[in-house]
Amino acid sequence: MDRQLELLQGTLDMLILKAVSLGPLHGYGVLLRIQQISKDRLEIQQGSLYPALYRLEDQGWIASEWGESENKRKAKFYRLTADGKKRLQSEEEKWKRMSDVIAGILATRAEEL
Amino acid sequence: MESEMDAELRFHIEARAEDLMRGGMARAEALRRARIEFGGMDKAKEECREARGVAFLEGLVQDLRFGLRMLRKGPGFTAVAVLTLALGIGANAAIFNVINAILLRPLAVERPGELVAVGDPGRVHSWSSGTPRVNLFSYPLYREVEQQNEVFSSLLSSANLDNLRIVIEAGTEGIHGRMVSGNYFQTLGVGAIAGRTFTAQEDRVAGRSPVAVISYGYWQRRFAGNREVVGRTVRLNGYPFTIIGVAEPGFYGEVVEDQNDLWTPLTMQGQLMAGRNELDSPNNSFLLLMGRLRQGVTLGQAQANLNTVVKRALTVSLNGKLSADDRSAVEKMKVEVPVSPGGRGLSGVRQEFSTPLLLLMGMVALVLLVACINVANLMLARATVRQREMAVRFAMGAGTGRVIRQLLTESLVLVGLGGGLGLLLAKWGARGLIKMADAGNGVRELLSLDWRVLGFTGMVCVAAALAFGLGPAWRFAQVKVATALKEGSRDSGSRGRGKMGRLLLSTQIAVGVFVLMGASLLVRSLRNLQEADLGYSREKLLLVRVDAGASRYRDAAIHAVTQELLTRLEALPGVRGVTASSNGLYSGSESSDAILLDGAEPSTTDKTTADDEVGPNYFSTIGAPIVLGREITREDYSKGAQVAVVNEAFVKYYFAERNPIGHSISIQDSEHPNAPPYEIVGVAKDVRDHHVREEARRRMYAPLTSATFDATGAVNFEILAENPGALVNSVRSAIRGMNPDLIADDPKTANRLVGDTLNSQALVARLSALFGGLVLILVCIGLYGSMAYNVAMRTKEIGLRMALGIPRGAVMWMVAREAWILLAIGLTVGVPLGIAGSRLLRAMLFEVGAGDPISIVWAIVALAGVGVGAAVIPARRATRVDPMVALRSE
Repeated sequence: MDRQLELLQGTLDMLILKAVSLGPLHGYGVLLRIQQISKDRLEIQQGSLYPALYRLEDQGWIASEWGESENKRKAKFYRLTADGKKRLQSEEEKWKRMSDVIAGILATRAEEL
Repeated sequence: MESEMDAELRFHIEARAEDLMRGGMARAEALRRARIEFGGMDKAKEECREARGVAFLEGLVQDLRFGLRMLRKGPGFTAVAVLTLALGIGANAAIFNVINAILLRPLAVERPGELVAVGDPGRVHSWSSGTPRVNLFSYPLYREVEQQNEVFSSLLSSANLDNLRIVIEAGTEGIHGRMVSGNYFQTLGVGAIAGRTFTAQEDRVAGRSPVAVISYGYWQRRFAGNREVVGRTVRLNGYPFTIIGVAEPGFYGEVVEDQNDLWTPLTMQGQLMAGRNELDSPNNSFLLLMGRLRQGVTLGQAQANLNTVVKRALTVSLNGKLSADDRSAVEKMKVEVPVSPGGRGLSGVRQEFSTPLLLLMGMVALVLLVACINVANLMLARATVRQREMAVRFAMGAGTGRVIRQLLTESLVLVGLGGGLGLLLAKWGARGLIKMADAGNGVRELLSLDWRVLGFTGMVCVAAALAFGLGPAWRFAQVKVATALKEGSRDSGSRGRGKMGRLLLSTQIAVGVFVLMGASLLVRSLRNLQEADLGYSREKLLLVRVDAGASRYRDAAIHAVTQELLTRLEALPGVRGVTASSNGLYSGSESSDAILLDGAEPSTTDKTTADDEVGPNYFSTIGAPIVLGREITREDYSKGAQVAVVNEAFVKYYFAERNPIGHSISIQDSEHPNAPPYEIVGVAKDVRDHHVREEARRRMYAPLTSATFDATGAVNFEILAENPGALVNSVRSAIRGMNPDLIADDPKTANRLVGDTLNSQALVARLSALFGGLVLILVCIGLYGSMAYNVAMRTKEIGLRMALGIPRGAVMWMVAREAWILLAIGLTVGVPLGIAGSRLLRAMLFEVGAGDPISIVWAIVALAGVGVGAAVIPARRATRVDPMVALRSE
């Protein structure tokens, strides 16, 4: 298995928003989905997942309610709000611009200057 | 919220464990793995709380819960701390409660801020006759000022009514009443809850308005709130009055210490005080005024305008009613009318007690300081014990701010419990205080834990919590996690604690000396005042004032009734002698006249002298020695001889110690222009007849029966007996037996009357002694606790020393030495502070200096005794340590 990448600072919020944008999830589900999408290439500190969820909820980007999990247990499910949808869009755009710029810088060779 | 978070995290762990179990792992192992993968659970929770924005409030609830749990775990600590704080806070709240009632609370009237008191607001019960005054007003002068002034939209006046008796159907009872001007209620903005209040109609003609308004309290108490009371006729001092209304609830009049039951128009004065017309002459001053300022007028402008108006009234419009003497007196008088904010009402008690109360407030603040230091010390001791707990909290990711907050919350919980208990103490403490001060039942009614008292107590609590909570909290915040965990809970903190603890203890001792010195000075002053030689036999006198004038006796009849009473009282068993006087001893009445004297020193320009008219053998009866010549005898009295006895102060001033016998005194009185002069027949020793603190005024005494004096009809009887207190009832019935309608005050012993003038002094002395004792106990607890703790901490060291063969005495000295050093430091700082501070008390001291050595020694001995005691017990315990046990203890 490839070595896992440590998450870049500030990107966890965006990944959570993306994860719940695909359908409501409980906390553990968020973790699983990110790992699944990233094909286990990202390492997420489980301890930092919940503070991030609480923070996003406090800001109104996600909302939560108690429901039943796949194995019939009570769990708290998170879903994206309208504000959260906008936020995710702007985060995505910012990320794309940023990665273009970074990629451009890294691709630069001496003779191009 | 909290449990939701727990449930959510639990779900996470279990879901993860189930996944792991699916991979073939055993359940227990899977759960363990899940937890490890998750990482620091508490840290995550803490971060979640913070992320959620409501962290503060929730944290507070959590802190409170935790704080309460910690306090329950140390019940001894909690009990001592809460009790200490309750005493400190309770004392503060009690004194403030009284200060609030007497000094701060505004009257229950409309816009009290606009009211202005005109005249001396302390003379709420005064009646005065003589040259017109401006600190108390006569009725004609009030009328002039009311019409002529340009600064008040309305100006009321009121006068005290002594001995008001009401008859409702049958049965007489005494009530509290005041005579007021017609605009009284309208000026104050107080309405009627039933019927009506007075109008200008009631001011118009003297004697034509037999109506009364009663207070809401009296209405409830006496008439059970029955509305049919309006229109009912009652008899006031024998004259029929109709009740026309009930004043609004909460209003008891403008005099703080009198909770008035009833008001009548001033124009009814002649009916209420039969046979005495006080309304016509500008010489009878008995009114205090209160005005409502016009918009935009300042106190200064009001005063300037009143000065002009009063001067003009006395020199122009009322001039025709004055005697020649008075005319020239008012001409020369520089009129300065006392004017002060009136929104808090008028009060003599306020004048008497404001300095003592503020002094006591300062003293209880110091008591609280000492109490806080004690609690701080207790907390420090716990701080050391709880160091490991704190280190663990830090290690688990708690922030410094969070830990300090937790500790301050614990302080607040302590102070909350202490404050609650303190308020209960304050409630009955303040009542006891008023009773002790004998400041009048009216004031007691005013005591209530209103928002001012509660707010003040709350502030005191917060200040106290910060005072004793911050130090220990700050020390915790500095705990180094690694060292604290490694070294164990004991040694690492005790050094720092030692420094702060010592500072606190010596501060406490210094404050203790300060308070004890003050208390001792005040107690010694009180004793000096109580035991002062007043110049007569105060232990053996019973005094009673009989007002024959108010009981419709006139001129010769007054003399006859006085003579008859002298005879009857003399015949009572146990009575060794009876005499009488106009002013007498501690009667509250005083008179003086301008005199012409032959043979006086030419340099003596002040011709006014105090005087008194006395009965037969006045001096030998009251026990005042005659130093030269003879006293006024039974014979002088019965024939109204024109003879006089003067006192030493008189001789010293007018005769420069020469023999005055045989010289003559004429009284300058326009109403008796041809009165024959008095021949001086004797010199009496000076007596302090009105106040212990005041030197005797120069005074002449003449027979009550002599021609020059107008008999007002009020006579004081001085009864000499071995046990005067036992005669009260027989004297009362002797007076009643003569004429049941004769108006007389309750007989009181001279000692009691003297004591009454020392009320505020006694209050301050007793309370300061009480607070001094409290401080002493607190210092003792503080020192003892600290020493006992030190011994406990040093058990191992002491054991080692003893094992090495160091003698017991040396070990004891070593342990106790610290206490004695602290004591020495505290005393060295405290004594000079105390000497400097006792200057504040100067006004209350009597025949002791601010730096009185006996008081200093007293304070030092008391504290040193307590200090030595507090140190010796733990020190002795130290020497009983079994070396082997001690060495094994860690």
